[in-house]
Amino acid sequence: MEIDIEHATNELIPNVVDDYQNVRKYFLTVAALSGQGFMSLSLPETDKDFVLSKVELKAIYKSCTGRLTNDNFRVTAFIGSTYHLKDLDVSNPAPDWLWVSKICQLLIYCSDRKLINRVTEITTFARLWTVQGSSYHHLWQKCVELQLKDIATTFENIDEYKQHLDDINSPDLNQFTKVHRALKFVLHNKNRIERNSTNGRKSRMTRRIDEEKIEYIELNDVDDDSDELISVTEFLKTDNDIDVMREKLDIGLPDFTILKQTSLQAHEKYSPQQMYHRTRSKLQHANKNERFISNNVRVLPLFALQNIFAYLWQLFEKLSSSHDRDKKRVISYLLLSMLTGRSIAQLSEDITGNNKQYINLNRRNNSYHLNIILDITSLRLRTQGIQKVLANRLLECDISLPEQLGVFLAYKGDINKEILYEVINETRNALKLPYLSLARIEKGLYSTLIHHVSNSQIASIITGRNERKRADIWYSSNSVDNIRTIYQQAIKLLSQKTTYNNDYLNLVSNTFDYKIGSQNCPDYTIVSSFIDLLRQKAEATTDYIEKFNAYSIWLWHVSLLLTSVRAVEGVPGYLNQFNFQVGLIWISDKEERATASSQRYVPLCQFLIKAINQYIDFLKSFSSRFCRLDMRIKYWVDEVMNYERPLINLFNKKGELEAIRPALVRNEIHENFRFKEDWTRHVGQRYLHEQNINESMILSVFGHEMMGQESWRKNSSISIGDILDLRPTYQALANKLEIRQVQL
Amino acid sequence: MKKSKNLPKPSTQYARLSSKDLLSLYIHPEARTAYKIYVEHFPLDRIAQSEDPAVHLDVFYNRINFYFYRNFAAQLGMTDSTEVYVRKLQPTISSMHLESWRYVLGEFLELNPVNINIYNQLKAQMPKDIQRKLFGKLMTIEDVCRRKGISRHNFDYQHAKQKSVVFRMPSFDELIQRNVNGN
Repeated sequence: MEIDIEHATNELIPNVVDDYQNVRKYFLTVAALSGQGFMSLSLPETDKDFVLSKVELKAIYKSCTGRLTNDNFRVTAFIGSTYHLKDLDVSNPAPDWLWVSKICQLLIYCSDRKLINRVTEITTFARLWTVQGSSYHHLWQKCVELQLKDIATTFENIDEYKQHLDDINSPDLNQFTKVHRALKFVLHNKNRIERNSTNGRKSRMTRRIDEEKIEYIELNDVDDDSDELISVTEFLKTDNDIDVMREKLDIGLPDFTILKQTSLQAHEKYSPQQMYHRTRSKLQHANKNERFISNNVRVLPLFALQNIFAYLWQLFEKLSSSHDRDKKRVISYLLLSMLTGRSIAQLSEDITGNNKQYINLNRRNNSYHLNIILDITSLRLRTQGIQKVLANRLLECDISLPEQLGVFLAYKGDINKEILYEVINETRNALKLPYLSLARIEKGLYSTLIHHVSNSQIASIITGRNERKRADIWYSSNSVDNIRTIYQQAIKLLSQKTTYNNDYLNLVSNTFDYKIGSQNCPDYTIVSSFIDLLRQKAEATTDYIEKFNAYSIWLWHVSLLLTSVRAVEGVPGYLNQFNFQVGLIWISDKEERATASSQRYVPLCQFLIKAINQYIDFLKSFSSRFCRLDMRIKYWVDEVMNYERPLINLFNKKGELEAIRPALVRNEIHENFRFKEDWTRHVGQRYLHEQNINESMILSVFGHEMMGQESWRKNSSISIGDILDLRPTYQALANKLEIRQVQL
Repeated sequence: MKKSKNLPKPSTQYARLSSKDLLSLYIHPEARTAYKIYVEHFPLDRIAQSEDPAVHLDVFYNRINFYFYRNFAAQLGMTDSTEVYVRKLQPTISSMHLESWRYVLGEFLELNPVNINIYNQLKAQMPKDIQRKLFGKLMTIEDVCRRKGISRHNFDYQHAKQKSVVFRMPSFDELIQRNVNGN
């Protein structure tokens, strides 16, 4: 392999790095360890004895702090991070070092071919995996074990193991693919992939109005009447695509909202006002069309869908791939749309652009998949091992597509719109279905799923329909196996009248049943131990203020978990909002609550009733016991009893009692539990779904039913009796989490 | 000093407090530490013991508030219907300080069996000069045993028996590790 090694090394470790000469020398020494045999690089003779000690490596690593992924420093950071490994013995290098050496050789190749993204990826994963105790250290060990003398055989091993991970549906697959990809690039002697799209708005000349600019306005005419200068204290920055009004929890109204705008158009499109109207109409539309009305004429009945599906397969098989290529393509797209629930436009854009957002066709491996990517509530925590305590460990899963369709579609080409409508006309006439349209075909899978197989949540996840309009998807948690089984049932139902073989759907039984969904949902075990720790803290603390706070924080978490109320100031509410006899509480937890009377009923389970009553007793005894230390305690507790103050409060740093709010709780427990505040709702929703609670009940309790569901009646469209029926479910959640009452 | 001249004269007569005055009954700042130990650590049954319809307290009065500094048990046993009588003794600051500690120490010595936790709190929080005044030197376990009339073995036995576990909230890292490792 012809590579200018010196130039490549200099690119990898540029002059800006401290002590770059030594780092380069060391890099080449390490690269030479595995010799020319690996990928026939003619490495220059270096001073064999040039080795940096662990201390020096650590110092190098430390010097890269804060810029570990910076273009100039990433390779140096990786080299520095090898201080985690055992000392290097050049004459007899350990397997770990041989693997490091191979990575260095890969880097040289990537640098030579200007594969910038690969360099970033390789250095990042290698740096993270070397650390003992990191979540992926076992993958590092696996690579060390699988490496062989030359790249081809190493790749075979790696490929085999990747296949294994794929088979068992392992969550490590995504990470491991990075090694696989690195080797693949080098083995197949690949160059930088450059795609230049010919169409698409992005390539158009940017208009002047699109240019970002910062305007400075000088203020010198300060109003003489004002007593003080106006100072801006708080900004809320948002990007275009982030809905500013969504679940802001209690951040509080900022003084200013800066909408980072890239164009006037985007600014208009994402203005809060527009966003509100849009969300509202979207929801109403979605509800009317798809959720409530099963006898809607706009929804095709199952037998019609079956006939269409069978007819299209017939056509597909009849047409030859060479002569009627365009027509066959149209038909395969229609079939693909019925198999995936995505629109033809989305599918063709995805396949021709090779975006692999929905469809992954790979002729080499003979694998044809529908990708379901559900990265809605993303994980922002970086704590070590966090993945292992998440309820939902997967962000995506794939579903097999029929091979004959995949093989045909792998040859890309654009759809001819005229032929598309011809085919639809032909089908309409052949099947005598006057109300057949493209949209109804595209919706076929979705209607089958919601009316015949499953609920609309899973239907939305599979087909992507209404995915962004539905609040409950943000909280969802579904087992991958379950999704696949439901999909399989739907397809079997759809294809009842066809002769096409759907054996390809038969599941490989997984050893692990992983879940896909919200990344803000901790698993039950960690929730259980956290709540128990809060209880222990409340019991063990002696200082009266700390004890009060610990008890309040425990009750706050328990009531959030057992009512699924949003974590906002003062929840679950004032004492007069509770009805202990009936087991009902009316809550008001939405953003607009300050102005509108938006309340809804949620159930109050036995455990929570007891917990709240004990807390009330505690408040009374607390007041009589400690009031002489601070007479205000008595007033405050009286306020709680007279409904002038929310039930749960905390002492702030000044020793004053404040209504509980997420920021205060966060201050107290930030070091102990870092999930975003509304994790309790994620856990709650997961549990309710697992208990097969009716979807409409869940929507109602979570306040997801409709825009302004609370403004009509406190119990929304669901009757009080139905809401009360959920009490045992929440009680069962308390039992499942093994929550115990605080004993003082 | 000026202030003290304006204070009302001491009196040895008990006077009943009106319910409005009751709201001005405070723990004296000098006695606060001792009082805090008492309310936080002494067993509840001891505190709620008294059911006297009337409670007598010695107070320091500054024309606005009434400050008590001893007889904490009686004060804590007060209910809404309790009649409260106060005697404005107007003691000096240092004597209130001393008296509050003397009271808590006395209450502690009356507890049976000996409460190790409270001993540790006293040892840690009682000012050294007060310890010297009350014991002639710094308080030791021996002193406590002698005054209570128990043997050192008894104390050690209770110490072992009442071993209080110090609770520490694990960090998020530790919590995750515990869950991953399955304990």
